[in-house]
Amino acid sequence: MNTPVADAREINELLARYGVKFGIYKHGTFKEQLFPFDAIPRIITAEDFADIEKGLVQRVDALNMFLKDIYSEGKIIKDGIVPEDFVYISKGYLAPCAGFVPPKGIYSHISGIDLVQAKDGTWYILEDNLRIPSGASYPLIARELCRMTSPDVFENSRIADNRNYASLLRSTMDYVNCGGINVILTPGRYNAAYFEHSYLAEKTGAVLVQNTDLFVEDNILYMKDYRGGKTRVGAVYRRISDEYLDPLTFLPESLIGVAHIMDAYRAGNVAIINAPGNGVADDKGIYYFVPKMIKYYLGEEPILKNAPTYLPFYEEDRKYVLDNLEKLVVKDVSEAGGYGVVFGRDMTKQELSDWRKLITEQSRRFIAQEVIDFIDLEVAENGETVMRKADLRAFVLSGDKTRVWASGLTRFSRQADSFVVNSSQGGGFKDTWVLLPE
Amino acid sequence: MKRLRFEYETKLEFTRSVTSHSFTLRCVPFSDGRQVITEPVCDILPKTGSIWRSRDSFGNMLICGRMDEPHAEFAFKVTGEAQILNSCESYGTAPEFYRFSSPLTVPGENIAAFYKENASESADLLTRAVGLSESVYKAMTYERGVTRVGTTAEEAMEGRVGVCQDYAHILLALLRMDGIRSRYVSGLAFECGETHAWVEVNDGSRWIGIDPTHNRLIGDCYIKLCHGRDYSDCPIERGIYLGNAGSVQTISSRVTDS
Repeated sequence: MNTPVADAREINELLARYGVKFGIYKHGTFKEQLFPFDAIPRIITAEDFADIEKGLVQRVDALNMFLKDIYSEGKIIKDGIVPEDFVYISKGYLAPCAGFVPPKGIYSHISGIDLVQAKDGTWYILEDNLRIPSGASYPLIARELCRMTSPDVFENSRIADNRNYASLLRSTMDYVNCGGINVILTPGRYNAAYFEHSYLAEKTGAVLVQNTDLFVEDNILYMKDYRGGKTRVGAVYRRISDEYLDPLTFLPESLIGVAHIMDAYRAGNVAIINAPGNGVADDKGIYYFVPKMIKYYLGEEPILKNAPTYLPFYEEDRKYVLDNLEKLVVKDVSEAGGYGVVFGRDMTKQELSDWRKLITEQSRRFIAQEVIDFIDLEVAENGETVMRKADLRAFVLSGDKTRVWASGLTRFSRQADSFVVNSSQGGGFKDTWVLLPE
Repeated sequence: MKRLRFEYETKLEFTRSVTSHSFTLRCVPFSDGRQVITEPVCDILPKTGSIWRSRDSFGNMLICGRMDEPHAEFAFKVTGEAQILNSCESYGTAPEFYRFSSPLTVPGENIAAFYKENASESADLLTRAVGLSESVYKAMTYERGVTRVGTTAEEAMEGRVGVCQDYAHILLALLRMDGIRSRYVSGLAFECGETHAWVEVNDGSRWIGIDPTHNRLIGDCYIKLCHGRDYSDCPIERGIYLGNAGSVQTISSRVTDS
């Protein structure tokens, strides 16, 4: 089945025509670029997917319990499982979110969990994204286009239909909705994921809005309509980050936020998806503790493994990192999108010694990991099939229960030697086929 | 017990009309174990748009509002009576985050050095806190116009000059280095024609007010308006509006025996 499912050129032309673009800011200017599609699908067997599914549900449930815990009692800290330094001074910890539980107790409604498969077949978690993970729309539209250009492939196969993402997302919003309509709040067309915002709004029946369409009165969020009337909003799938969400609570210079939305939220009159303050749990430092959280909250053994990770914060780990820096990858805990990732093997002697110094001085700021030799996938490039590193972003939706979307975004590196697959770093994507059991 | 009357007013004059003005005010004092506030009245001008109440995560009472109509002046005035039951303390426990540095109280080398010189060995939390407050009082010179609202504890410590807000921020940075849960307080005090800032420390069951600007525990002429980890959590007035306008602010406050 490792053959192109469709003519990649045709699909890429269609993607360009539909405006499926990725915007990036580089050197202060905004540039839109296409997100190159490769027509050879990634295939995940039914057995593999069953494990991944169980492991992801477990992981996301534990992360949601962690968020609820640290914004209220902080039991996991009192019990000595997670050091307080990794919570209360984390950039992602927001005191204005403390002492309050969001609707239905859910913090991460849409989680984007990045995994890689090692050459021995083991799946490893690379990173949890619990703020506003993007990317679900790309495999969704690519599949839609492939179904149009090659309908026969999908007719007689055992490929799980991924078109249910819209209904999953919709029921996730409906479940926490506090009365009123669902909206998707976008910062506008100059955002990297604007295509996704508009596409998901269309697919879920939510209204695509910008901040100027919304206002708060008596701690209730409303959308203005074109006749000067107002409609109550019960759930906001916001695609702007926490610090810009409410200029009266967070950054006052925010021009894309909604004044008093935090008051409506704290009064329990609107659900914010995902909850503000989630950044404290997807910090790369907290990643180290997720397997411990699973045991602590669920009393279960973690099903999916973390990549072997060291925290220079702990003396023993720091010693190992300094001694083995050449073979490790170092990540800045507060960065995302493939930024702040450096490989020891690419460093000169001078750089190695500079990094050792930096890691010693700012031990809380970095983690170090063993480099996982993850599998290469076949990618069609200029008429040839080449092997490229690829990861998988799985989407996990938490509503009445936690579900894993039977698809996902497979991103691959377009350079032969690179391990960095992020779209903001120029990577491409594939469709991800999850096979149904025989 | 002491009875006080208070009056507090802030006026913002814009250089040009503004619209779509949203604001949050923490100007109405609320009752706690130390102060009982009776019949507070808050008048907001112009009388347009919508006004409602809310609460923030620190427990403050908020007056929220939105004025869409153009206006060149914005003012709020609070009046009421306060009974001060207890000069400096109220019962209560503190959330964990009050033990950690906040945006304006992150210690740098000046704070760290100052702490090293002035920290005491005492086993009693309040003795240590009052000792640090005294050191701040002695090291600093009170002077207006040198620091701004966004000045950090570290910056103020470096210059050794500032106003009550800076004294409070420096003390908070030191207390938190010492592991003491503490918070920033904005309020009204007798002598002061504007608003005043001080600090509260928590000893596990009580919040105790310390005024580093005057080197003393707070007394029965202090009325608290709001609190937070530092000033940035709880400005008395915070607003956003449309309009390319500057503004001039006038504040007056009066606390008298009732």
